[in-house]
Amino acid sequence: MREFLLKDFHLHKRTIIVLGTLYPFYIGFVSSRINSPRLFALMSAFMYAIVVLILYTREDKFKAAGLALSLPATRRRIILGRYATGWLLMIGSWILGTAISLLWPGPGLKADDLVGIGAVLLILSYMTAVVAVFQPLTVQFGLAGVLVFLVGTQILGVLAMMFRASVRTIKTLLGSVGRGVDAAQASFGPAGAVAAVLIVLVLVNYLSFELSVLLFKRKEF
Amino acid sequence: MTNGVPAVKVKGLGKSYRDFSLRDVTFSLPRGTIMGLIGPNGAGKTTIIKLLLNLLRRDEGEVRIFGLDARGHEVEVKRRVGFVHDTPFFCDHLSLRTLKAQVAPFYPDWDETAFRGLLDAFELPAGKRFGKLSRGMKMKFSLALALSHNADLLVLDEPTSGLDPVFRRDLLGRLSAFLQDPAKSVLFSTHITTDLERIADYVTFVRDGRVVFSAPKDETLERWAVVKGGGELLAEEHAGLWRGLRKREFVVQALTDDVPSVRRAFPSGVVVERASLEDIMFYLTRGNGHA
Amino acid sequence: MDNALEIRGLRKAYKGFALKDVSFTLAPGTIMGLVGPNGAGKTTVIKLILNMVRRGAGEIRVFGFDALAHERTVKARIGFVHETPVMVEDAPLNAIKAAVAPFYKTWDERRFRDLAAEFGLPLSKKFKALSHGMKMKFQLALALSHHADLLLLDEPTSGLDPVFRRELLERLSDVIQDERKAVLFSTHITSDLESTADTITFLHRGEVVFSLPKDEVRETWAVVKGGRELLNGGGRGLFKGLRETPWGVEALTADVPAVRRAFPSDVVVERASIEDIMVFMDQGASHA
Repeated sequence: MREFLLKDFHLHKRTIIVLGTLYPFYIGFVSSRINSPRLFALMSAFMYAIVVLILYTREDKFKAAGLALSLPATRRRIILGRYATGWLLMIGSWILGTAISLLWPGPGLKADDLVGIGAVLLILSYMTAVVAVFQPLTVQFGLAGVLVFLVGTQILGVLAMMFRASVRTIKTLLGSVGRGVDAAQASFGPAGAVAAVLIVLVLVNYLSFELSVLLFKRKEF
Repeated sequence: MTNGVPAVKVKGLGKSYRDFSLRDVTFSLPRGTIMGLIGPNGAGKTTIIKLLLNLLRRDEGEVRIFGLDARGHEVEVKRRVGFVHDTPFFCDHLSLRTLKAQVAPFYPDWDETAFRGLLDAFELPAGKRFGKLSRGMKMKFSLALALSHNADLLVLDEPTSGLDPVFRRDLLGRLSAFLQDPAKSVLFSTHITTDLERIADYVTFVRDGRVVFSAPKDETLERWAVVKGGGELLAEEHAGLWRGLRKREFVVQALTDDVPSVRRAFPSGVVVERASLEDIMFYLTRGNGHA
Repeated sequence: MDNALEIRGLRKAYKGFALKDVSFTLAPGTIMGLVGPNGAGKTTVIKLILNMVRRGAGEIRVFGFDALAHERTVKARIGFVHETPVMVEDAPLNAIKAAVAPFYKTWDERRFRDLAAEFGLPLSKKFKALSHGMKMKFQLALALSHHADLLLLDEPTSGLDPVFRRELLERLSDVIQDERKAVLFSTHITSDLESTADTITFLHRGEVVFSLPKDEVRETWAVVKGGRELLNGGGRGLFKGLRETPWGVEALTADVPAVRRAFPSDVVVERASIEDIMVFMDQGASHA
């Protein structure tokens, strides 16, 4: 996997460094202004995902998928590499963003809301949810997939604002992730919760991965 | 074959850039003939062509097209010149019809019938978007435009690059047809020297911003030869015969433009073969010897 | 020793085009030229070897290994040059190299630097800032820097001047001095083939017309020039392509003895260049 991580780092160095600094800073700022840990976790997951999505649009723009396919790698490994770099980027951004949030003065979230077990599980869960959707989407549809994802979620937001009923549905849906994490903590205690949640997250990632591999194997370049 | 004002006359042409300069470029293209411009990448061929059309400002020298200064009479010159770029730069999302409508009004001699005829002959649908054409088709379209305003001079920059032999032969056929009219002339730059050998009357070899020679093609092919032999060719006394030399393993190959002297120096034991344009280019550029 | 490349019964269908039953063999220590008009399927064949597109049917073996079942092993031994480069154009050459190198256990950094110097590659410049010729040279430097056993080159000489082309071809000849290595390159510039290839595979509309040693091609194919009698029915079966010129008729044949029997006098028979073959076959299809 090392070669995949290096590849993406080298090819997109500038983008990664710029966005990888910008978004965490923005998140740091947001953390000082917001009160809801759940909302914050959701927003952060999205923001960190965008860094990855922008990388994918670059690849698509330059039709660089052909490069990976010419190198010694199977399609399966290429997708694995994709998930690996994606996660690494997101976790890296999250670490930076959290550090900045902790240091950013002002009201808003407390340390426990940022690095407590519950908070960590929450952000990982939201990240998983987001990754599970955008990976297969972008594998299949490329740049169009990125747009569908970004625009689609915005449309959902607009709908939510227009129809109060849908607001509740969406809140329930999104809230279910948070409630799931809380439930796990309540039922299993801290260690158990970590184990239970991580198992679910790994499973979801795995399913998403297999779907992406399936889609990718059918693509032609 | 030709008389009167040459189609193109270039004298002492020069242009300087930061890391490259064109200097003392001189050559003439008589009316009714076709000249091929050859040279390694970066030698200055495209620069020369752009200077002819005043797309670049020359620093020194003279450029006359049909006797008119390319800068002073720019509009008139350009009306009489059809130009084909190596990378056609039209808007991808516009149709051929629209592109033509953009270009045609600039030419008082625009010949719509000729244009339509060419579109048909090239099998180019007028409604198709430029971006959807293959490279060869894009070239054909540029050519169709260039041939549709009664131009007297066609200038083509690498027209056959990336195109298969079938298309190339077709293109060369069209250029020959164009030249049936003794008032028309063609100047084209290319990497595919076999195309040149087939069709050109004159050859101008450019290297490092200088003209190495500009001469009739037949004469050139007769004058230059590749001599193959062993180490005896490397002897000091014969150094003056060679304009380029290559040693590969035990075989020495050298370029000469003085075959009689070579035959006197080596009455036997060497092979003397006619040099192709590619040979000439190769040895003059890479032959670590003279010139 | 295994063949460098063995292709059998390869098929691939697209909307307006199909590869039909493509079969040929590339022996180690040889250079094969893949030639054919635009759209004949040359790039498709190369993409199929690299699994960039899915096979319809058929077998592809590289050094005895199935190209799909042993994708990684196979690709580790392949150096590639694509006609439309697949690079992230925004990245500088150095970065692209750093991205590619770790994938090859046999990466030779020294070799790369030597080649970069020799080709005059501006390593800190962005890929998109390079001329087409330079882009090809860069891909070539990458391809030659991991001791690949099979070089797969799609139009590597396109846009390159004759001087560099000849050097490139000389370099390819040097590569196959090592009998375990092989080169497959597709090109339009048939004169390059005539000087360098050992075998020539001619592709036309998705089918292999022939895959033969160069000398055999020269001996088999000829251009016959004569009068209108060549157009006669009996003559038709002999010719793969026909053209009427102001001076008579020219035809392409792969069976010179039969032509001589059918037209004992008044015809001129000349060896056909690969370009001749291509041009006639393209026209022949419209006559057939």
